Amino acid sequence: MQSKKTVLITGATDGIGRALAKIYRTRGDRLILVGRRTLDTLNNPLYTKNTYCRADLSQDKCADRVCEFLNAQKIDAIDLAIQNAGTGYFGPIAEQSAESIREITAVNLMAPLRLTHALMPYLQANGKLVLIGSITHAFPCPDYAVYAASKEALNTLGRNLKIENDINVQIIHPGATRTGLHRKIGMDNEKTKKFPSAEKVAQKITQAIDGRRLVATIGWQNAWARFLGRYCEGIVNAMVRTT
Amino acid sequence: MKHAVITGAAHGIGKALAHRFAQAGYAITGVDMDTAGAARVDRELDARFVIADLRSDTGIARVLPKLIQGKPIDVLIHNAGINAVGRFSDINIETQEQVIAVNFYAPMRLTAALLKADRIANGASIVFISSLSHYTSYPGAATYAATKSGLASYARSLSIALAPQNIHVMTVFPGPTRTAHARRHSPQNTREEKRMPPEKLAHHIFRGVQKKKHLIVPGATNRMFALLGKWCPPLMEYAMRKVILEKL
Repeated sequence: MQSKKTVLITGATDGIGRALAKIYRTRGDRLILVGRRTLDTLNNPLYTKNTYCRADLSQDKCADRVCEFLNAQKIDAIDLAIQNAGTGYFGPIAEQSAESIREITAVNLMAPLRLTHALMPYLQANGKLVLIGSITHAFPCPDYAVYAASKEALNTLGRNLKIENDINVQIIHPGATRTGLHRKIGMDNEKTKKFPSAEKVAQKITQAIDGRRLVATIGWQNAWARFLGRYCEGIVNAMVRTT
Repeated sequence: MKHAVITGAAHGIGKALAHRFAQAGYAITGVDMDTAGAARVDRELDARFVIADLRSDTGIARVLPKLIQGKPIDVLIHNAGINAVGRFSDINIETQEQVIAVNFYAPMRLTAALLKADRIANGASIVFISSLSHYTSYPGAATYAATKSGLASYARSLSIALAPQNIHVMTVFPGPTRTAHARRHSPQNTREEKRMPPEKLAHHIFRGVQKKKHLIVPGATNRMFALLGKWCPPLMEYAMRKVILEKL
């Protein structure tokens, strides 16, 4: 019988984050769910005033909000912090607004940095920090360059934190997943319907978290794709160039 | 006369780049926050400078209209960069946020806005100064390393996105360079003479632009470290931990 853990998940109101929350709830863990929406719009027993911390991760003070919530809940140690929140943009580079570049940088990179920094004291003893990346970090992505760049930065942050070895870090790279993100960024088409569901991907993510691999890619096809993107750069670039 | 825009052009690599491109007959526009340093380069080269702090949105907002009203840009070099060295938990978060702002966010903002304003000339080159840390890792500067790898990824995507418009994109992965920046951020400077002089690096970059290369790792030793870091990461990570992290 596993003992109850305290699990923090960002981006927990939709997609992979919500699916992860459901899994850890079934395990009986103590949840801290971070999201941007107000509690009254979340009609699900997962989210209560004791589990849901409203914090806008695109804002400077987001880590303070989370720490205030932890203090109010008298939580002083976290076993697992999953930084899953992410946002994106799809379209030509020149058309992307300054606000979109700011928001992606803030949510996908600054927020994990701020939260990691703020949560370190909570994770000290036996805690584990999980950064949810994306296999896109290993590819050239002309239609979502800022997104892929933010994920590559996150991957490198995780790599170096691992070497510094002050906390236990794991980086997990899912591939394309059927979530609200694609609709939000205007990439909703026949192709996105074929992506695996958030529930399936979340299940595999929890397996990776229970495992020992420091860098894990979800799905063997994605693992291969990521390998090619990293180690056969020239070939992959040429392939993307012609499509 | 061709026009080169170089960020962080008052010191170090940026200054050497300004000299190298001026020598090849380019008109230089520098961007820097150091008024005195900029004035010095200005006197040497008759460069034009925009004084702005790329750590903030207001700084970026000050630079953009000046560049947009200026001449079309033939070479845009995103060179401005800052570092913060120490264990991740020891470096205050505001400093790390500034590293992201200057090294990562500002180049993407400037690039998108200049493309939208149609200020990047046909046949132009956009150059991103990343870092050898992309290959070798850089414990003790995790945020810096993150921004430099992120920038390399952005440049890789941009290179493909802009190829149909005949705009060339190049990423540079410099190793240790003999600059004041490096001296400030290294655990020890006893072997400073081993670092590449900025003039030499600037020459490599100039040649890379001429040859329209996509990636350059200047210097044979650096190339060897890059290969080792790429194909045998644990080895370089171990070395970086010994050479940098444990000496902090």
